[in-house]
Amino acid sequence: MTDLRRLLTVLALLAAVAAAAPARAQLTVQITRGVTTPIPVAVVPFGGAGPLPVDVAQVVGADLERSGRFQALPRASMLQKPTRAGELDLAQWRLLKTDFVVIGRVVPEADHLAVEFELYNAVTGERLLGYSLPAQSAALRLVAHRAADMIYEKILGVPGAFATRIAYVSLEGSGATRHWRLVVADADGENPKTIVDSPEPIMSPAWSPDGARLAYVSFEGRMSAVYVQSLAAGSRERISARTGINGAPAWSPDGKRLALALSQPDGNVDVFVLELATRALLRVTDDPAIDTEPCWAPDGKSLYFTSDRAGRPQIYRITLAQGERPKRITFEGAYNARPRVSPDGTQLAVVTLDQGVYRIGAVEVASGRSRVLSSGRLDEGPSFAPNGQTVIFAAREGGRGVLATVAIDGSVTSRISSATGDVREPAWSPRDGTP
Amino acid sequence: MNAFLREHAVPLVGSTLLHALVAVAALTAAWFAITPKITVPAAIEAYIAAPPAARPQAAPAPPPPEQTVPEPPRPDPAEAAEAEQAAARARDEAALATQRDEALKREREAELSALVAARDKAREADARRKADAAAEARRRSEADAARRRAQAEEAKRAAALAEKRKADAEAQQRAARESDLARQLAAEEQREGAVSAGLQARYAAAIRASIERNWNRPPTAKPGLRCTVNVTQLPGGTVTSVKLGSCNGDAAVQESIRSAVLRASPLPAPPDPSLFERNLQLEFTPHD
Repeated sequence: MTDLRRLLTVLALLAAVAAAAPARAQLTVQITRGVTTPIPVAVVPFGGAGPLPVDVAQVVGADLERSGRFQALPRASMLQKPTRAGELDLAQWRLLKTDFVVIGRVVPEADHLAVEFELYNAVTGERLLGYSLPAQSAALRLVAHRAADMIYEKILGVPGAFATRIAYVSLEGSGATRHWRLVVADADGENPKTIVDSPEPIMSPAWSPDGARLAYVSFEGRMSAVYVQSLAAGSRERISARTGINGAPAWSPDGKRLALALSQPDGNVDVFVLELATRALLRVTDDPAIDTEPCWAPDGKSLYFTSDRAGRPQIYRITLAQGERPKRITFEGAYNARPRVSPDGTQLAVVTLDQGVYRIGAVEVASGRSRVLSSGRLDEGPSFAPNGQTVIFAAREGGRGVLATVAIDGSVTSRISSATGDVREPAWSPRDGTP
Repeated sequence: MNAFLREHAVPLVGSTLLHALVAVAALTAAWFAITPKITVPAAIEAYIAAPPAARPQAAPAPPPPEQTVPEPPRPDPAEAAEAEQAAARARDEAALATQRDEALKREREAELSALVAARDKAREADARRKADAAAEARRRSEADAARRRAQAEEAKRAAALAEKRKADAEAQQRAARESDLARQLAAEEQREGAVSAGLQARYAAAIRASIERNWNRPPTAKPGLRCTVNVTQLPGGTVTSVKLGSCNGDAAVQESIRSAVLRASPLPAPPDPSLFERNLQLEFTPHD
């Protein structure tokens, strides 16, 4: 018995010694944060086919930079301008603190051009992309945007939104010559095309989910009405022209319904859903306060809208199932209006009153937490890019509205300078909106 | 219970002892397995610089002896016929002729003896030269032999020296190995001291800050991401390899992590050199 006990003691001691033996653990370091500063990238001027109508590398670099996630190296700082892999010395680019290098060339094919480009990680030395995109000369800009999309997605893991379009309202002239134009342009503001021109106000353009049609409000005949216009054919249809207010159209994700803000005979505004095929109207909200600016959740089952039922405008959500009471989403700040939901449904871009000025804010749906994205004094009309990474809005500059974009983390704001007139209410097209 | 134990005491203790033996063996093996292997720097090859072999320099050849042998003057032609005609005319002249002959004879003899003397002198000089040359050759061959002897001795001395140096170097290496061991032990102690002083945490924090500064976090790197990375660095912090282990991030996230580590290279030095770690493990677990 004592022998057994002694043996056990010895064994326990041995085990203790073994456990205490100097087993040097490898040093483990936890990384819990990163930065979202713009990533330095060099888009080297493309080589090949003589003078072209479009400087492809310039378009690609400007796209990346406008996203807020990249910083393009100025051409004057480039020590070399390789156009082929054989001429590329990545060590040189590392010296310039450039993380990624894009090289390429435009080469003539039988009856068209081909944009060949390659993406290199200067830090790891890896070749990340190598593509040849066919392009008609007239579509060279579009192909450049597509290349930028591919580069953006390769580096950030999220699709780019450069080969997309924007719609916006532009007020031009003054007095008797004042007129409103509805304009559709490339996402960088280039190639603007007027699709409606009216002496009366045009408001609230909204893209159909397939990018083929626009719904908007027009006051032609001094009465508000909601129209749906096909971009390819130019034909349009008047969808809603009730007495009073017909406003704020929003397409359901399946493209079959439009949410609208309509006024009652007593002037009270509520949110309705109109079935496009049958013109059947469904009342969604019923409150003596003003309920307007509806916006669909991506699942098509609920709507966000602005209401002043609590005194000041705030954002609410209501499910379309019967008998649900609206749930208030925003609590931070005295004014939150004009919601637009992110493609993944987790955030809302809103107009928010921040320290006495109107700015673009982002609200986390789940928590209600909000942050201010823009830095103007009278920013309005936010709209998410289809990749959810950027918000376009209208800022005031020199007494007129201009287009601006801000990264969803609020880090970088860019101006889109090509739009003329007093610009309002930009709407970013969906990805499917093939220009 | 006690009865059972008493009854089976012997087999019980025996089997327990067997178990214990196995356990001890296993633990010992485990202990050796986890004992850090002490690596000794590769033995430094003793390098003995052999003294440059003295290269015999060729002595300048003596100038060749002058080989000029004076040519004996040619004797004048006999004037006998002329003397006979002269004898018929004047007997008086005979005495004079005889005197003249005598003088000539004396002259010739003198010339001859001068010649002989000159010849003897030349022969003597030649013999002397030959003897000198022989002596010189002898002297030279003796000097060569002496030089060779000296060289052989020098080589022997050098070999002995090399042998001694090699032995010294080996001794030194042994000593170095021993002192390396001592140093390593001391380093281990210092390291443990540094670890316990919280310096290791400071080292980890410095590495962390440097990588976080360089990690351009893509939008898809959301909370819930978990990527382990094994990094190898050189003393001085230069990263030599970045290997991703388990990682639930997409390609862009993985690319961003690789770039972050390489961009952070060279990694910060530890606050205490004993804390340097050649292999690091990084865990990317981003918060919001």
